[in-house]
Amino acid sequence: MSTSVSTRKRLSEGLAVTQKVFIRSRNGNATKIVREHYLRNDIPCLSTACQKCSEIVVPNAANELPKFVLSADPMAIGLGKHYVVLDTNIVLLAIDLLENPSCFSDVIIPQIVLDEVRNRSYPVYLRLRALCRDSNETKRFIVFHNEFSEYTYINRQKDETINDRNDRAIRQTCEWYGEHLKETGIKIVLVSNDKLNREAAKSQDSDKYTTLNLNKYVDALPNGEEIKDLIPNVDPKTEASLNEEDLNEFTFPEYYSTARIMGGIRNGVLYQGNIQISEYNFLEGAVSLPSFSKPVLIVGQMNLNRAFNGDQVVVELLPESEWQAPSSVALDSEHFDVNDNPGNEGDEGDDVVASKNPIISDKQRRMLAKDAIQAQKAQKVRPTARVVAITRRSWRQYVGQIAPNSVDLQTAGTQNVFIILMDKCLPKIRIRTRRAAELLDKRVVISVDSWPANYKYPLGHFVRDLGTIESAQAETEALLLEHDVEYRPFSKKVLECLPEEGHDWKAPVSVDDIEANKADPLLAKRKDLRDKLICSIDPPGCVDIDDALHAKKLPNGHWEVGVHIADVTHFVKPGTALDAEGASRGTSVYLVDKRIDMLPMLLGTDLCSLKPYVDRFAFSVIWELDENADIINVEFHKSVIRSREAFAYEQAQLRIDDPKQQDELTLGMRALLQLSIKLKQKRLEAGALNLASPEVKVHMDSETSDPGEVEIKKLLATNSLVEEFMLLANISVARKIYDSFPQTAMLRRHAPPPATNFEILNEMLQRRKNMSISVESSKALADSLDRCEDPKDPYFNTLVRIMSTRCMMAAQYFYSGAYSYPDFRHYGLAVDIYTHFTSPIRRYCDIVAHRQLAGAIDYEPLSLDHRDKHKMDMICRNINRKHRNAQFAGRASIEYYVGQVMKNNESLESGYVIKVFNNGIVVLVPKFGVEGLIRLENLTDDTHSAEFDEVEYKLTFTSKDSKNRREVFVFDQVQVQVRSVLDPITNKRKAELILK
Amino acid sequence: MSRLEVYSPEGLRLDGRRWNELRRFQASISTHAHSADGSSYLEQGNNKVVTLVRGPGEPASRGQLDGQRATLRVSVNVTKFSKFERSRTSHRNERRVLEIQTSLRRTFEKACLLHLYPRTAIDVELHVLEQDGGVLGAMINGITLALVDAGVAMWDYVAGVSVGLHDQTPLLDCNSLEETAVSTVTLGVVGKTEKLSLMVVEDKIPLDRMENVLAIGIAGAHRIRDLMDQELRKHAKNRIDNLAGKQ
Amino acid sequence: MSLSIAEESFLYDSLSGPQRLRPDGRLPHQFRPVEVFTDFLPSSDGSSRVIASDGSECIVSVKCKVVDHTVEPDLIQVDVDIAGERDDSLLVESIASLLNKLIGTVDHARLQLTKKYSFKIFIDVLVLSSFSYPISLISFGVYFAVSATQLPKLVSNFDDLEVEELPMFDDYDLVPLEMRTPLVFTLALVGKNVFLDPAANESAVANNGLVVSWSAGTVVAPLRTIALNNTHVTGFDPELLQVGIKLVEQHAPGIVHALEG
Repeated sequence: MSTSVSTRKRLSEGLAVTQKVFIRSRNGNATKIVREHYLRNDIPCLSTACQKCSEIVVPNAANELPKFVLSADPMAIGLGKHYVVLDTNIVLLAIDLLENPSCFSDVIIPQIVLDEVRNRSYPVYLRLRALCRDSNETKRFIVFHNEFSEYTYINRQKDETINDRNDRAIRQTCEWYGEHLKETGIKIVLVSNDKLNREAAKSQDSDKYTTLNLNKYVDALPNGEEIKDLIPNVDPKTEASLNEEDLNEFTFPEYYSTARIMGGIRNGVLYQGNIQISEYNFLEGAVSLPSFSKPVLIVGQMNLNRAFNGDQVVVELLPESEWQAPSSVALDSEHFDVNDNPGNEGDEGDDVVASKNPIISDKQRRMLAKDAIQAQKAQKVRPTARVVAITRRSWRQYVGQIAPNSVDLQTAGTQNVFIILMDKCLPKIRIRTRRAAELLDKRVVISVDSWPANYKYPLGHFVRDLGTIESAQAETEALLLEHDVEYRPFSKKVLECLPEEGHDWKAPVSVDDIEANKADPLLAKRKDLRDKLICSIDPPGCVDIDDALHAKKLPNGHWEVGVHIADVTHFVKPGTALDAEGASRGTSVYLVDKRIDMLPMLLGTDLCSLKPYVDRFAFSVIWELDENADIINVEFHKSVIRSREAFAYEQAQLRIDDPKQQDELTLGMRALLQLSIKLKQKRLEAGALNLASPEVKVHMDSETSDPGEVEIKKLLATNSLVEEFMLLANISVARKIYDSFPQTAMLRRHAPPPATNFEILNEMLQRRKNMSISVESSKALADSLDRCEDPKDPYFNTLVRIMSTRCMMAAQYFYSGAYSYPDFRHYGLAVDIYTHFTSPIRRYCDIVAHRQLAGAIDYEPLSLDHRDKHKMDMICRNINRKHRNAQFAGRASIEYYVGQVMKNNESLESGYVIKVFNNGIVVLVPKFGVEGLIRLENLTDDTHSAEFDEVEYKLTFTSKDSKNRREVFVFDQVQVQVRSVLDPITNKRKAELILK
Repeated sequence: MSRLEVYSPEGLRLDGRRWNELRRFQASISTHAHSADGSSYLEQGNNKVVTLVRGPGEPASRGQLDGQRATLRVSVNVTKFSKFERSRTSHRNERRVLEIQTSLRRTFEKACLLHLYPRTAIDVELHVLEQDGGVLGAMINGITLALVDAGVAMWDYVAGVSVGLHDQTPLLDCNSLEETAVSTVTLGVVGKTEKLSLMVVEDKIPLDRMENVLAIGIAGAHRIRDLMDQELRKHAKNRIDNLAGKQ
Repeated sequence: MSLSIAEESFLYDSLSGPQRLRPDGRLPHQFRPVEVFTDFLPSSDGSSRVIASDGSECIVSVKCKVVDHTVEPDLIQVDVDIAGERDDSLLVESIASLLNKLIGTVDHARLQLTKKYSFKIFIDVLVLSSFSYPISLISFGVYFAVSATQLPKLVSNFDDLEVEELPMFDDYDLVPLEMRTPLVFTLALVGKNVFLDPAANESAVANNGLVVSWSAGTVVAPLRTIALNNTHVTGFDPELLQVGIKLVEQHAPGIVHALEG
């Protein structure tokens, strides 16, 4: 028996209503949902060949009529001219292929497919929607609302699953189109990889349309041969090409059912979290769970059960007998099972044996969880678990290269090969390609499609090649792709949002000018600060000048200090394509040889940039500070300024230090420096941290743009001058916008690190140096870091700071409604509230802060986008992710170029041991900011006699050259030979360190 | 988190309507002729509202007695089963329901010629059997119909409808799914005029969008007025025919 | 209902007399016409609307919720709301307690989903208007709402004690509950005569009222007397109880049959 089939009720000519009834099963409960569903006869086919539909269309709320997109003369294949209708499985599988300009030109997406895609993968849905939106001469995609058309809507039948019903709806759509376009001679081709759907289509009287699977369809295309490689790799067993050899014994454990997962999570026997694969061992992962003080370990291929780094997984604890310490072995995927054959799946290797779980009941499991939590607190042993389901895949496109030994150069046709990914936490991917030989020395982009339980490695497909390995262009693009940085040029729609005058744009001569006020009614609210002696101080060669400063002595002896920030939001208005692009990019990305801008150049380096000698719009924060640099008063203005000079840090320093310079500008700069020293002092007293990262800078040869030399970054007093005032401005703005928008203010917080993060470091310090770090408060941490001095080694303190930095939490953007006030705290800066306001050219957070501040001072009403918690949440999530990616991309770029520099200069350097494993040590070389693992086999010829002492963090082995016993402890300073080598298997360049 | 296409690029809403379309509107009056002086049963979308009007008549207590005009009382019963998830507690004394009662009473005190019935009481009793968004508007329409059925003199019809705002687009007569994603305004519009006798804004609507929102709301309310008018005239015609038939 | 003394006296005499004349001409065991609509509230799992010929009207909704029956053993709950009556009024409370008692006797087996979880059904009664004691009307409403109830279909495993699972349901298919709740009849005792389904004017002169519950072919507990008015109530001859029970046993099957048909 099933829910009563609802009938259609006609409301008027062309509009009928029916009811959609379904059961929503959630958290073990079942709720009956009934919704009205309207059916209409005014949904057009959107084909320019159609004579009828233009009669029925109605305009939307903006009074625009729908655009007829599908070509009247579409591509012809064997069957003749055709439109494609896509099934959901094709969209999910082959979105890359759909975006490819050389195929899929006139495509109909039934609404039901769009809905299914949205439910299954929101990112793919967005890409599909973008395809429909950006229809042009080569790609014409439309959505046909089959569910709302009275001709194509179908009721669910008795005992029909929702999938079957939806497949039937797709077929109904094809049938309708076939009939509708009969006179035009255009054929309808349904592309679906679902065998049942295809068969159902054939069994119907299907002279109205044709059904093909993706391979067959691509075969039918005139350029099919070129495209074949791009077809995603599904489990071949589901398709006809079934091959006896493929049937093998290797299987991963099946995932649990949804009912089991939900019941287990609710009752505390299963846990959900994101898996983090160890960067030293790709067969070991850790999942942080709220109820456990430390991450739970997942060890081995079977227990990881096909999880990728970053996937959201559900895990189940293993019995106590299998708990262990985190592995002290280093292992990466490229050196693991190098001899596996991609053609047929092998099942050799002892490591693939599933842990023998004695069957235990959930009651026992709950007891186990208690034991596990206890064990974590008490001792080093860490509970282990296994993955029983993957709730969200982190799959994206990956960059890698073909594993040369997986290629059979004799084969001319399609073959299976392995791709080794740049991210060493990930397994190799099996793809099918005809071009294996050609791609051997290329960086390639691939997409992961599936990982059936009976495959040892995931299946993927080739997307495109980026160029030869080690060519600057390929490597840069690879790292941008790997870090999800949007680097394509700005689209036409975005550029259209820029001022028409382009570089000729000029600030109005006077804010009272009548004509100018007509064009910009807000102009009258600007304050004219062109009389202030403002200057900017930046790194040399800086073109995107975000900030400028001034200071002036007031009659009462106090100082008027102004921080002027580029008024980007004057040009970037909410709701525009420009704003959307900036929001999506989130931040500019700085690579060694390249800058990827968040906003178009015209704004960043010209109209917004606070260049000297010209009038610019700014957002000014003006304080009255007393001689102790305490704030007496603060005001915020949109302003017009004229910078008197743009200094580089060193220039500014020289001018301040030069006693001959006594002009007013220099006096102001000196005052700023004095005040900034006081500000810094106060900050440090409050417990602000002074952390370190092994940052280096690569000098590029300006002629050949080859990397020249590597230099450790230096800091000048003027760096700190600018920094202190920027911090002060950010804090003042944060207070103001939080005051005006208590629920949605854009802020930045830095959570205190959990003490457990420092456990290992502290233990190492205690053992080796008899020192310790306190994390009770940021003040305590700062003080204890100051005490970590080794009189014999000045660098030791920096080393501890570097290692501490790695134990800290990442700072994050958030909207004020997301946390309670005490949690707003910025631990590192030791302030109660903070935001980013001072770099709107290169950070989107600052743009939001600018708009909120403009709203707070009644300059202009704040856009709803920044007053809505939900929308602010989306913005924060995105910019947090982009910010992190940008940092990683920047570091990866430096790493690559450092490698290039080292390639030419092999040298002996001093380094520090920062980790000790039982099969190697990790050494950090400050000069290059690189660290590397030195494997035991490279330390000694006799690996069996090596001893690892995990209490003392000591590795003892027989030295290679002298044959003496040698002990290496953590924190030891060692001499290493540094050179850059190309890994013979992966063609990846990395620093190789050899202990001397 | 709303990942729904509240208003698709093709101009269709979640339930298939366009931005300016009302939901199904089905009303009947004198549905409870035995138990009340005026009654109506209204389905506006999937809202189902029963309205009973008793009076004008002797007030139940002297406290309600007003020498100048009739006393109007409105009580709203939102049943526990009216939403998809049954609510555990009765809504009777919820602040929201009390507020609705007050705003409905004020609206109809203005709409009725209460001075014609001094020293009497008019009790309006609403039962919400099912709700699916914009129920306040449906209540207004239910009361209007029941008051007319009871023969209470009114200046004009009051028609109620809600309008949501999704980004730039106003959406007429939002259902409950749309209400989760957009801010809505409920309007009570007097007859064919642009006079608002009630306006309730849930959540925030930017002032610069308000004009558009009101314009489509008023147009929608006028259409509802016509639908109510049709129903009343049809009913009256049936009555007259019946009377004529009996003679 | 206010009647004059003369009217009351006339009514009493004709009802208590040997001819057992009812003012509307019914026989003593005859019911007034009742209209029943089911599935009237699509978003409930079962529903009914019952309208008596005098305009009394009652709406019943049945909604389910999944509960852990080891924690919450009561699987059926009846809530009564009578328009114009406070939730804690004597009438509402007595009717609610009677209904809950009656329904407590119904077999719960069909509500069990798994070893751990069961459906709990909430029966919400809304009496829009009533002109005589509404229990009978309500019991009809409940009977039809429950018998029309269809519940979501379990698709996960029945055994969830060893391996914890949350119940999962089919997104579309429903299973009929197939449960029958007891019916309740009101009887008016006037003199030595017994009348089924007393109208308002009959109730006004009755010496006493009887509430008789009937389920699956027999009269079941509880059996109660009620005062149908404030003026005429007296004690009654226990023999009348037997008469009343017989009257119900004899005529209830026919009434149910007529309504279900």
